[in-house]
Amino acid sequence: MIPILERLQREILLLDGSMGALLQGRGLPPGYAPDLWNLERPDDIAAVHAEYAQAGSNILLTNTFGASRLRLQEYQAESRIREINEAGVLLARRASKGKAYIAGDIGPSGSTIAPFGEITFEEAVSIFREQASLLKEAGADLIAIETMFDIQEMRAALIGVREGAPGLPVMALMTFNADGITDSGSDPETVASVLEGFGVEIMGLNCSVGPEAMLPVLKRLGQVTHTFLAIEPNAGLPLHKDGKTVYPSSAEEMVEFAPGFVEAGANIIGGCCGTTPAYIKLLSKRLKDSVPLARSRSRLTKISSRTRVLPIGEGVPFVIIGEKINPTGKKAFSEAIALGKTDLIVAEARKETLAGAHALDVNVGVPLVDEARMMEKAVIAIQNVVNVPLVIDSSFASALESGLRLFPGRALVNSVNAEEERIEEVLPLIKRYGAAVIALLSGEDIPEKASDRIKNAEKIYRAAERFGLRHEDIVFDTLALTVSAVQEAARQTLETIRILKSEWKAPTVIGLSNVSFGLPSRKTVHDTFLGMAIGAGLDGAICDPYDILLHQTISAASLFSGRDPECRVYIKNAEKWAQTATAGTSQTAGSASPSEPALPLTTQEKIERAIVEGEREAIGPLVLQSLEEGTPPFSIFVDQMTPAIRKLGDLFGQRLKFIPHLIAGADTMKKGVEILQPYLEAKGPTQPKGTIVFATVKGDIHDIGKNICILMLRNFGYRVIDLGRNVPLETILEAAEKEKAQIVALSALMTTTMIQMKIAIDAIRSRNLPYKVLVGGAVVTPKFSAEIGADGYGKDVGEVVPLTERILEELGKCQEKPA
Amino acid sequence: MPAIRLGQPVFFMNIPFEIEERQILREMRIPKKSSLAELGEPAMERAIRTAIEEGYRMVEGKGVYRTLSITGTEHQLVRTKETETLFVGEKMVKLLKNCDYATLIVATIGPQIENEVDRLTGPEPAHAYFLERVGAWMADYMGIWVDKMLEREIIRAGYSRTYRFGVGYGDWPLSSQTEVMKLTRADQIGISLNEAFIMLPRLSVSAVIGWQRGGARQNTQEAETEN
Repeated sequence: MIPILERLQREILLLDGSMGALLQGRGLPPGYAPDLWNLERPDDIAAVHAEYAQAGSNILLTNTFGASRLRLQEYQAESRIREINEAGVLLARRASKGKAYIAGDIGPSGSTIAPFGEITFEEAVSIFREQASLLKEAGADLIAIETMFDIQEMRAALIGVREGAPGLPVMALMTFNADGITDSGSDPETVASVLEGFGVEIMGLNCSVGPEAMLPVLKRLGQVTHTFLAIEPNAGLPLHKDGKTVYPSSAEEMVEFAPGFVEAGANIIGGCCGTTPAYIKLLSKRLKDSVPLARSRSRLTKISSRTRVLPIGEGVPFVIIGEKINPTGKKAFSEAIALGKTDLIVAEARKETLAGAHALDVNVGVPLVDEARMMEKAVIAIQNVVNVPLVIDSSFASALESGLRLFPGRALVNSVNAEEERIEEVLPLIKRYGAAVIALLSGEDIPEKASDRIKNAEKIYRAAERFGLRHEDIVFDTLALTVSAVQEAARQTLETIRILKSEWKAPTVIGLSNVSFGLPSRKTVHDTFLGMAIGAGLDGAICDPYDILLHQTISAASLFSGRDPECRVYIKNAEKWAQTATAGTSQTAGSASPSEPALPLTTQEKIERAIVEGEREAIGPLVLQSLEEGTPPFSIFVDQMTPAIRKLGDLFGQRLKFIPHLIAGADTMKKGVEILQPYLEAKGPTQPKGTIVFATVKGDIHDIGKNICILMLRNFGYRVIDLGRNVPLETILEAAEKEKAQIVALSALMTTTMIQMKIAIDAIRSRNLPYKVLVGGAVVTPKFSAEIGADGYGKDVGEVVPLTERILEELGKCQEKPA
Repeated sequence: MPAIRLGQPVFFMNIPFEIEERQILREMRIPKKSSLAELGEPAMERAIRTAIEEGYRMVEGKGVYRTLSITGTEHQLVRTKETETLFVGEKMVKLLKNCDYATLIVATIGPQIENEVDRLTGPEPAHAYFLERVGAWMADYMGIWVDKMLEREIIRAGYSRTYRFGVGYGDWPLSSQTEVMKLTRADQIGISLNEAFIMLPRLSVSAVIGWQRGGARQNTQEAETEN
């Protein structure tokens, strides 16, 4: 037979349709593994294949979708993996009578893959490798990887298939949801970039929600890749009728979508769940004279995260690669890495992304640290919180590999150079993990002349070809040398960019910061250099994304380098800079709050504002200032702070302020009181307004609400004994007696624990104890409170002080009454 | 049709996440604001933003679901192939009566935020509160995230989903947590129970979702168990 890839250049080929639905028609019980029928009911399997072959299928998928070791384990059939896969190929081959290609079919492992899931990436690779190897040995013409929901599992499968079945073409099909993204959030463009990185021969989609929703996804794939495209729609979503699974779309309805698929660029069309030989027959008839659409090859390098693709090259936005995740010269950062911590890395990743970095360089190289392990942790932590692609940066191949393995997208590696040893250790990793690589144009030494740097580029290209990489997998770093040390070399950098761009159309980046080393006003130097480099054709830079001038330079230079059609990005950015400048101006003018009046405030007014606005950092200096002005400490507490917190309470009552404001205000006041405390104590002991024993009831471990209530009460001068959470009844009663409490306050957040409140109240009443009982917590209601006989119920933290005041006032009145 | 994942729990580690300002403001019951900038209160904005950024450093999203095959329904009991004691109560029967499968969901954000909240409660109560609210939303977020993953599987299999029904909610006793934890092997995502059947870490959620044959999808907004 003519090799399949050759035929695909000029013909549209037909796949088969559903296997499962037809096997069910032949008696396959629901929930039984169809793959086992390769051994148990071979004639039925061969008969289904034959039906499809007769209907016009050019490619038959083997009945091995679930025949990986992991999936067969579910049926205790893993020991028969070889027989099942061999039989799968042989049965399809026999039925095809030499007229169809046999695609060894591989489905998902049935598990989730690290870092997302429970099985390690390499375990997953070995599972797929084993099955691919068996399918190849049995004589498959190509391997089909189908119905993948997670790009990380597809990556593992592709590595496994390339290693297990070298030389066989691969058809890689993802499953997209109705919204055009996969379960794990990848859009078609991202999927295309990852699959192109692995050099798959055919990519596409199968299963999903039906042909109508799949067509737009196919169109999007067709717009971003020149790779052959395949589509296998299902006949709509299944329905369950009278104990049977049925599919809503008929063969006639399904085939109506075929011309649209061809127009979108499909080279292979078949069917998935619910499709039949009748559909394939109609398809064959309908597409008889159709020819595949020619699609042009893009020269852009595309890297991606799990959810976002980033093109690098001519005519697309300039790429900013954040340089800040790097311990060099950063003590705290280095120490955190040495301890295996990722919190500073995560913080920097967030900050760089918010500052506008399109990708992040990740370097965790600290002496004596297991860099491979740390790279793993860093990559996992970063990809959890940002969705930009990563640039894995290390001088150790082991660290590069652990980063590449766990990054669920297409990473860029920093870097390879023209040294043989580095080429031999880095380029195989780029190939295995479908990544892209930055190629530094240095070798044993750093060439000064552009022509010598180009020689290194040629060497790297030749090596890349040897390892099966494409030119688009390489991004050249032309070496931004320090201009104060080697001025001519820095100029040659620009010349190198011009040559690579004009003669090779190659993408280029530079590490920017070095260029200005040793000079004053460094930002001016490297931002100017950047503008010149963009003029020469530079596509991206590893640089400081916090530098506003750098963003402005890039935006302006993009206007002159064909990267910003109609100046739209520049105008949008300029508006942002203007807003920032305005905010900066007003800040330097001393406006701390938008509500600040024009007239200067008195210290008392400032204290009030600090409490009402929750300006925790401001209260300390203000209290000290008030003391310096001669205000007595007690007066600051009673006449300045207390009215402020009452005002906040009033605003809360009017729904102008909310619980967070109350808490921030109370916390601010607490901080102010802490400063006043020594002065107040110097004047002698103060009499508390009342004593409250506060606890979260037994069994309950929630206490944030209770803690905030205590804060409020203490600010108002109450003595609160905080017993903590999960407190047994006897402990509460002992504390109340010992502290001579007037009130026992109980908190609960669970319906299952609030019953403890009733037990406590019953105990207090039956023992004739004098305490009033307040209850509160998210699940407690006024009705429940009344039913259990509580003396007070607080809906939220806003009610705790007025409620306490009322109860103590009533208590006071009772005690005043003569016995 | 992709196989329904039966027999074993499906685990998700390192769940990617975003902490949306809108949701945190909602969690703090600040109405009509969808971003911190809209507050117009620099001190409050700064305080909440700090808690959000800390959340990014501390949240470790993990989840698991396990689908069970329903074999029969009777008065106040839904039987499955895997357990005949878990799904009890009138509300449970109402929830699962038209279902072929029931899936248990458990998710957590790990212990870091609540440890930090405990540490800060005394010295910095406002910060503790803000961080706790971030944690509370993110625990919900992880539950919703696992729910969405499951929902896609349910739809692809030709079913519609019921709402999430929390363990301990209505007449489903909280003591059922013990069996939920066992069936989902929730210890593998770091969750255990205390003597009152409360999940530790506290910032965790657990629930059940049914797979309905046909029919309109029920409201998904019903509460799940949040510690």
